[in-house]
Amino acid sequence: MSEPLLFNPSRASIQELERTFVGRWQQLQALERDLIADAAGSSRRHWQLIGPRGSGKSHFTELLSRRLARDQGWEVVRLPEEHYQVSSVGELLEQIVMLLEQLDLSPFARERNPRDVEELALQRLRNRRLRSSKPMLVILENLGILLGRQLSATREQSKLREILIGDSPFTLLTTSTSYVDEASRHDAPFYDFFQIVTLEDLSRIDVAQLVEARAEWDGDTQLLGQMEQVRQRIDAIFHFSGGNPRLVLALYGILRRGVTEDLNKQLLKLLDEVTPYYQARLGDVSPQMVRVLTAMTLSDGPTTPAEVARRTRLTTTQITANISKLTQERFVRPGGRPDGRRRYYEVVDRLFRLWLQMREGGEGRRKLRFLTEFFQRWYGGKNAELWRDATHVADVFWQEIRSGRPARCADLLATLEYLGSAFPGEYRDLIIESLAEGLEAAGPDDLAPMVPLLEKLASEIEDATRKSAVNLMLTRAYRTLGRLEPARQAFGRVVLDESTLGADGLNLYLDALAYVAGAPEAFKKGLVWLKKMRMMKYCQLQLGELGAEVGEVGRAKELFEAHLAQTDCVNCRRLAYKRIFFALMRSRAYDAAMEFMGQAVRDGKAEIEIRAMEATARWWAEKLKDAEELARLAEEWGDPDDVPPWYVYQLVCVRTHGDRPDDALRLMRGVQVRYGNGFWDQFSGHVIECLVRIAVNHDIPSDVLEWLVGDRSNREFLASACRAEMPRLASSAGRYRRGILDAYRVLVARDVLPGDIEPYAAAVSVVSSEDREKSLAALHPEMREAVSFLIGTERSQRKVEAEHGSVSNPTLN
Amino acid sequence: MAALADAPQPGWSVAMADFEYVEHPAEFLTELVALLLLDDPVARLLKQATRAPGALARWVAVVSPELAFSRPEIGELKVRLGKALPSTAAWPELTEELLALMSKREGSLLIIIDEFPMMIGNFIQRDRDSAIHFLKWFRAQRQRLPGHIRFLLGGSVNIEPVLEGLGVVALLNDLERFHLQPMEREKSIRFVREVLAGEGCEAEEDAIITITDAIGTGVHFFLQVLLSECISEARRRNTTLTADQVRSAYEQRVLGPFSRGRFSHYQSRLKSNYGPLEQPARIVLGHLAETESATLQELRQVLVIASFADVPASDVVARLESDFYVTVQRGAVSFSSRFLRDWWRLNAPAVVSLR
Repeated sequence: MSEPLLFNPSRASIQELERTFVGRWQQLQALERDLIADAAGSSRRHWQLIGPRGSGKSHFTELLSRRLARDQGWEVVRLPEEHYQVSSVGELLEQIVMLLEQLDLSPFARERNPRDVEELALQRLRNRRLRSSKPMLVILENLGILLGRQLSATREQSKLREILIGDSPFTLLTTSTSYVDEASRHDAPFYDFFQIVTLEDLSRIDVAQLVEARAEWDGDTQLLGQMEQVRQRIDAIFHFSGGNPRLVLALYGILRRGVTEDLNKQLLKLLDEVTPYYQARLGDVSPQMVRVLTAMTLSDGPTTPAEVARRTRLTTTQITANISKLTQERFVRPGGRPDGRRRYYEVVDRLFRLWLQMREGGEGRRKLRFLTEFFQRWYGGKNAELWRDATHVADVFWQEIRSGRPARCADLLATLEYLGSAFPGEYRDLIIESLAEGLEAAGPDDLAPMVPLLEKLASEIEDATRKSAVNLMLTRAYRTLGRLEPARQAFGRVVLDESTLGADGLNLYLDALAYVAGAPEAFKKGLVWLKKMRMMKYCQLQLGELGAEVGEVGRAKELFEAHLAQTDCVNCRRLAYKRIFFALMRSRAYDAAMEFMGQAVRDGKAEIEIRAMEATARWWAEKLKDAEELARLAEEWGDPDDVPPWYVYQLVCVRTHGDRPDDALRLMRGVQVRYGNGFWDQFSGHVIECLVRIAVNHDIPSDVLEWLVGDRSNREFLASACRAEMPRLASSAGRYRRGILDAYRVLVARDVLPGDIEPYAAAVSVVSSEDREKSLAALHPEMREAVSFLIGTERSQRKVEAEHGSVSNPTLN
Repeated sequence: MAALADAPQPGWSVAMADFEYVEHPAEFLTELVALLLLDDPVARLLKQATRAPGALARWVAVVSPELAFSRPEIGELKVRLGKALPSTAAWPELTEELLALMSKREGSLLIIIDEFPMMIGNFIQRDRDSAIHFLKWFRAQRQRLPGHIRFLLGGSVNIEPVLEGLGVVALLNDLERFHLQPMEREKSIRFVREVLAGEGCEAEEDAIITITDAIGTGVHFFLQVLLSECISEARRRNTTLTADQVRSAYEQRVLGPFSRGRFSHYQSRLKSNYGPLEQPARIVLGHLAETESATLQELRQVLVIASFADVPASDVVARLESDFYVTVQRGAVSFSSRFLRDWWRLNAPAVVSLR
């Protein structure tokens, strides 16, 4: 980041100077024309280039002088900025001679009287000019220092003016940060002597062009390729730099590198780097002006002279005079009239404002204030980018931990904290949220070696917020590892300011508390918070989950309802339904789960239903702890943009167990139409099972069942489905077969099935016979095997249970 | 003056130099000799003089064998002359001889001594009596000069108040005063147009009129200040200068904080030069800045209200008029230029009541 600040025009090639010069070409070319025209005429003007520090004066003069030398054959002398060797006009001219002739020793070294040196040096320069016919340009930076300190005697200034106004052998191009008193005081020799060229701050467009020009010169194709995307950032650069090219280049460094993981450190470094620059700028103005400027800087936004007068205990007249001078120095500018009457002023250079705030503001808040404003402007409401960058920083944090080199982790945490602090409404606990996301992905094997490093980090960090965040992560890690006691200890070191916790932070805190102190304690605390803390209203979903877990289903339902009532976002509602359903099912509150799932369905979005079923399926698979089943599910779910039949099946299951079997049936028919035989072949077993369950579930209201089987289209569908699939199902239904046989019997009894379907009819016959073994033995061997399978002889039952475990409810257990 | 030097009248030569930095009569002599050596007839006379008796001949002879009296050696010449000067007290005799020698010059010579008042100010600052002695001596020399040798003494400040303070204002009463008057409006417009053209700055006709009328007087300096800002702005924007840009440059740059110091002497010199009239003058100017013009009777009333009933308004107005702050036309007193009035209204501190 420090490179741009060190940009030194005198070391750059002319190509670089030309290609990175923006916003001032008209001025440069006009001055070039004037210089050339004057050199050809009898009288010449001398120039004063005015611009604050960092405004590009050196770039301007360097480029101008090199162009004149290259294109016009001029001789150019650039005097040292500090003028340490000059205390008289004679010595000034002596310096010009030595630089021009590249002499180490002065040809006037023997002269004791500076005025003699003056005459001799002037003669030498004039004669050189006559001999060579090359025009001479002398560049003299810091005119104010030269006239104010080195040549402060009126005689010296008068003499220099006489030389310049008369037969001057050279054209003088001076620079200054503002109007120089010695050239603007009416009684001063140089009063209104110089032709003024003012370098204005770069416009917003200029700043964008400068960034682009620098990127082109640096060959930064990545940045060039996304100039449109970084427009917001360029606006931020304009905002902070006030259009000052030096600061633009300093901030360009950040833009070029992107928001790196230790950005906060880099930004603070940047402020350190600009310190000499700003100190020098403050050195250009009087102590009283500095005081006024400081008061203006520390106030938020534009302020009035009267307000500044109150703060500084100076008179309004003094303030007005100082503000006027500060305006000349381009430290401040009129800032509009918010109340329509009084004049307001504001500090031009925001980075300067932040720099001064850093140095003058309260110890605890000054860094935060700077970084907060920086990040707010940098992201400019683009929260997705903020979150992306925060996630990136958090990822790097975990990489550092995993690699066993947590040296940078403290800075990374600081960056996350500052990022979050910049957006107190939405991301104030971003540090916890982003870190937790990285932790979620880690399994026990990953976490075990990371825990000691986290412990070490937690013990070393001093900042309370970051320390607590790490301890909270530790608590989660220990939870994943199933180590309750260390989790308790880590949690005991978590000292979060609850009032500053956002919803996610509260959730994490509750989660950790539930682990170390138990769900009842967490639920109890959550209910207390709910009454006291505004942000807790965004945690009602989790609190409801805790309620369900501790058996407070009624209270949990209220919390779920409250959460859903305040959630408009479709995706959020979808996730909420998933979690609600999940929580209620886990606590075996099936009815309540079905109730909410029915509500989800009534929200009218099939996608919601399907995603909700995904949760069911996942839960079910996890419940089984069956790796193969999980793998199979993952494979079958496939492309989430398609509607995987598995979800449909799950949906049907839920509807079957819920109060909308008609919906289930209608959905199945729709799926059949959409997916045709392919789907039917693959998943018909599951579908049939659902149909069966529709038929056998005694919880289904009788009127619904009557409708179901009474509806002609339903009956036909059921019948055709059963005819097509039940025979095959009989041999492949696995652990569900007994239920299916029961279903067959119900369907037959309800006259849903027209005619017998084997092996069900045979199985029903066997089961209903007095001598089951004899009836079975009478069957054809293949039929006998099939029937045995369906009726579940003890041997076959044991075999099934050995394969699948003991599951009585295949879908929703 | 530069125009006179660049294009002398037929039969005349011009030697011109800025003497603002000169601090002592002896230095004046050295500079004057160096200046005159650039004039070939005078240089020839001086060369011949080195062979004649006299203090001037002895002095100049010190350098003449090795150095030609020519421009490329002027620096060294001055150094040698300075070193060879018998004593600082020798300047009257040497200068008298020099002027006497110059009377033999063929053809007319105009010697322009620019910033003469500043030089005298330097003398006074170093040695008041010596300065008065120089002024008396110089007056006598001027009166002795033949008609073809003339002095033109230029200056951007008026030395008379200073000499008045020393009681020696009569030492300059042989000089003919030549005040540069403001240009008429038509000439101002022409001036503005030609300066813009000379600078290669394209401007709409409205812009030219706006520049002229914004300043409201044909004072070159005021016009040039605004012109300079307008040209800078047009160059920066790379556009044809418009009336709006002129108005903006006038309000933001000329009247604004950036030029505050440039014109602050208009109010600061009231403090240094007006004595007991300072506050009444400020009150009168403050009133005129607000009302545009007022009669003497109205100004009298203003002073009475501000507790300056004992100060005659006519005295205040006369002093302000002589210093070009105000003009009086048909009994109406107003600022001498619109620019000065605008500047005063925005930049001079308000004075309400002082007693």
